[in-house]
Amino acid sequence: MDHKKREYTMTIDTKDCFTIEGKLALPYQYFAGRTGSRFITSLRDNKKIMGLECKHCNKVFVPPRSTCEVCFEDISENWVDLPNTGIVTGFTIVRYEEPHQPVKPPYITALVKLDKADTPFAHIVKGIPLSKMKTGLRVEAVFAKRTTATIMDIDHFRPIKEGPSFKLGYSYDALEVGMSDSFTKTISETDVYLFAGISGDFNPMHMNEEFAKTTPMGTRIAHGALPQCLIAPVLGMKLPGLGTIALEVTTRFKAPTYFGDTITATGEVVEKLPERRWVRMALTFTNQKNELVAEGSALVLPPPSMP
Amino acid sequence: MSEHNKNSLVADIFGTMESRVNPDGIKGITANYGYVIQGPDGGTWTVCVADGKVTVREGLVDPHVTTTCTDEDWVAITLGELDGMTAFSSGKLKVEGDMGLLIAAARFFKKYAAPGAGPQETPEELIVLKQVLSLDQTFSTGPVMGRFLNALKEKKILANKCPECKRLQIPPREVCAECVVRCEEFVEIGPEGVISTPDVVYYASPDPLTAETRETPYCSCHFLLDGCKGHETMWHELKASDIPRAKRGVRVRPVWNDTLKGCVTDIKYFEIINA
Amino acid sequence: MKKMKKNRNVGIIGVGQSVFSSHREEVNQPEMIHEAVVEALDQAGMTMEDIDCVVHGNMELFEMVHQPDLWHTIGTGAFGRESLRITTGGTTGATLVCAADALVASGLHEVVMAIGFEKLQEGHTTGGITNMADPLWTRKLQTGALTGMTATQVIDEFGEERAKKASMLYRIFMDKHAMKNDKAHRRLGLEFDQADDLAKKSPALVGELRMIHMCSQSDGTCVMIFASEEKARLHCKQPAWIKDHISVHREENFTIFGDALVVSTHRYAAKKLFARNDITDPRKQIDMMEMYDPSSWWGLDWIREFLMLEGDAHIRMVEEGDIAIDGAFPINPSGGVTASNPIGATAMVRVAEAAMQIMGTAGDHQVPKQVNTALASGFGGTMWTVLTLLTREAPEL
Repeated sequence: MDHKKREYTMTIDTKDCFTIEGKLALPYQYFAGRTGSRFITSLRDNKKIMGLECKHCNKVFVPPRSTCEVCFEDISENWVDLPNTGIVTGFTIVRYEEPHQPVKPPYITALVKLDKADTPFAHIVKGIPLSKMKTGLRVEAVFAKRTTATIMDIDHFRPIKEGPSFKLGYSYDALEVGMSDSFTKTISETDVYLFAGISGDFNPMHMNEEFAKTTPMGTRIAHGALPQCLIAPVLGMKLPGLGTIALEVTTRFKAPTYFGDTITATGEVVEKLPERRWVRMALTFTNQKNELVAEGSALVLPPPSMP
Repeated sequence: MSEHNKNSLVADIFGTMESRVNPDGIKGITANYGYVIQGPDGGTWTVCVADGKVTVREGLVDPHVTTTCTDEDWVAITLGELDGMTAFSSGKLKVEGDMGLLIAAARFFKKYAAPGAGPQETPEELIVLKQVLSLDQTFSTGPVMGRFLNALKEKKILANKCPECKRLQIPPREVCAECVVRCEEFVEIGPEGVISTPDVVYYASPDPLTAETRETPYCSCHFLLDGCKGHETMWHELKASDIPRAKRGVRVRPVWNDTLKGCVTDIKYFEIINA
Repeated sequence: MKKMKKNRNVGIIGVGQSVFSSHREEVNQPEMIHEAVVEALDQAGMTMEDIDCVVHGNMELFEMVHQPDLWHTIGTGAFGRESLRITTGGTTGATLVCAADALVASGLHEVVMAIGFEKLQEGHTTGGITNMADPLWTRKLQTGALTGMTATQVIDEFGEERAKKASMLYRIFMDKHAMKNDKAHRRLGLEFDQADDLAKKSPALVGELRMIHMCSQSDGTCVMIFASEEKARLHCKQPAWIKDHISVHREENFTIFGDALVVSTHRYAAKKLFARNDITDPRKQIDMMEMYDPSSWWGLDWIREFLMLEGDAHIRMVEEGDIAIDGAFPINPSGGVTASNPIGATAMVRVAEAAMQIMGTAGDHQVPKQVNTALASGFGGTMWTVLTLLTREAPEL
């Protein structure tokens, strides 16, 4: 190929190369338009978030736009009020610093889809440790005290304070015959005297050492209820656990409980009753010498399964 | 309201001005605005603005700027039926004196409502967000522009020469724009020369560094420096006070700043050499 | 002469324009664009379902928003469609036409929608243009898009009185045309007897370039629909066919050729375009022109460049009224750029208006004679020219 070969090399004397600082500074303005303005003034003046609905596509757009971009229908009159609550559909944590940011990093930028809206929009989430941030978090809007007629008239979104959440115990289906759990406590003189007051049972065999000397036990003993009630934390908090309803508890006492004895109450699943989904449990109460203090059975209704 | 009745609003418009003053709009303004309204319902008035107050006087009282138009047009402009700028461009509104003062006047008064007009509907609010985009930048000169800028520090103006067509380029560029070959030969030109084509600017654009507009008039000018010919001109600025004498062929010389930084503005401007 | 080879003909079958104004505060950008999109689709008898690809453009960063094509899908209907973004400065509108033409002519797409827009009230035009200049040199001295050099040169050549009269006459013709175009931005209602008065009283911007000569800064959108020959004939009785187009660019930055006559690209482009389309007498073989005339001085001067005239032939065309809508060679029946200038759309509006003259849809500003061949020009800093040639008859491939 016959073409003029051009010289591509160049002598570069770097003493002549330097840099100059400059700036790009331009004023500008943005018009929200009629629809956008109504959205902003509603945030600013009424603390209300509004959207527009496309009745054809059955979609609610937030922030609102005057035309449905899918079917091209003019939806500019179909205003809907929206609640201030929603769900996080995605998020990222910004860690680097830059002059144009709305808040100082690190901060969470999230997509929030309000309840009843079909489109999410971006905003800041505050009030949750960064490591705990997750998709699916339910949030609510916090409106700004000083307004600027921009989207920042919503200052940020914060997690909705739900009630404390608990983990329920074993359900009927999760329980298996043979499962067992227990609870141990030392019964003290204080427990006995307080129980006397609670129950009204001031029987001198519990309260009067001189009298108790004349009984076959030879000294004061605890009320029967005191070892017996130790099964309650087993059924109610361990096996089956939270949400259990105790339907029937029977106990036969085998040996006295002396002040200072350490009693272990054990419940074991022995039968599952499918018709009513009740569970029968065998109860045993032993002391520090492994002597059987009492035994019995309980019928319980375990908690429902977790969704 | 009939057209004739409407024109009779002229007196009312001026009569209600003092009660319709917009305090923010007149802040910092001291000037007299004369109005010559022609036609059967016209008249002459002067709106005197000073110290945050407005006084409307009959007749023309030392106006700094005078606006002339017909009674019909004046009412139409005030009621928003005719755009002031359009009226001016099409010659319906004539202005004598300091035009810059007139632009501020648009904000002096609250909207005028003719007597008997129904309750004013609150116009819907349209949101406007105003910002200044400001980004820092760093520019590399490269060896060619860098050499040119460095030479300015020694009060020397360099051009470079095309090896093929021998054309000079000022400021020097890596390549000849006509022949597309590298230009490696640098030549010192000027520093004196003649005016080639002056461009007097009355309407300035904002300074890209500060977003502020510069004072006018100023003169962007093409100079043919000694050693150059034809269109090998250098584009710079002519001293503002030399503008009335600016003509092709007049001899000029550069005026340098006290501190030279290696920047095109090390030359403050060129000035005419007085014989 | 190497001709561009097309695989098939491309016809313009629909044009939409929003009203050009400096006060569109009640709409944001996507809403403003939507107006023109709907109008273009209506005219072409199509819905967005028929559009294969959307090309979108404006002057980059003039509204201080990058990649506005993505943001605008709300109004453009580009969601789910192929798209292309174009920005070449003032010629953007015309380059959009070239791109749409290439996409359809090549066979890649059947129907392409081109969108050019600008919402100048939201940006700062002169500042934007200032920032196009070399930051180490001309940016510090730039006057934005304004220069009085052309006025000075015309006055030097033809004498002050004749030059000023001619440029004013040109201006008034443009306004008279704009008065017949209900989409135009500035319709001042000027009369010929005001010429001298206006020339004297209008405030000077730069040198002899006065406010009255200068183009507007407008908000607005132009949308055009381009279709393959097959589709075009189905949807439109008289499409405007794209015969040819050429893009020429001379300077990479301002003042690289000193104070030489800056827009030599116009004549260069015209020469090449006419040569490869067998046009030897443009004034006779072309029926009208929509010229991108950013000021009346340029409009006047460029008649000579585009029509390859010599001496004072162009001045006489203006003096004798040839350029009027009912004249021998109508120029800018739409009112041109002095009437409306939404930069990103402006160059496209020139092609659109030329197309409307062929399609017969220009309404009150339709030129009375039959338009068989129309020329449209686009212009931008730093010295770009885009020339488009449209015809009534489908070209031979």
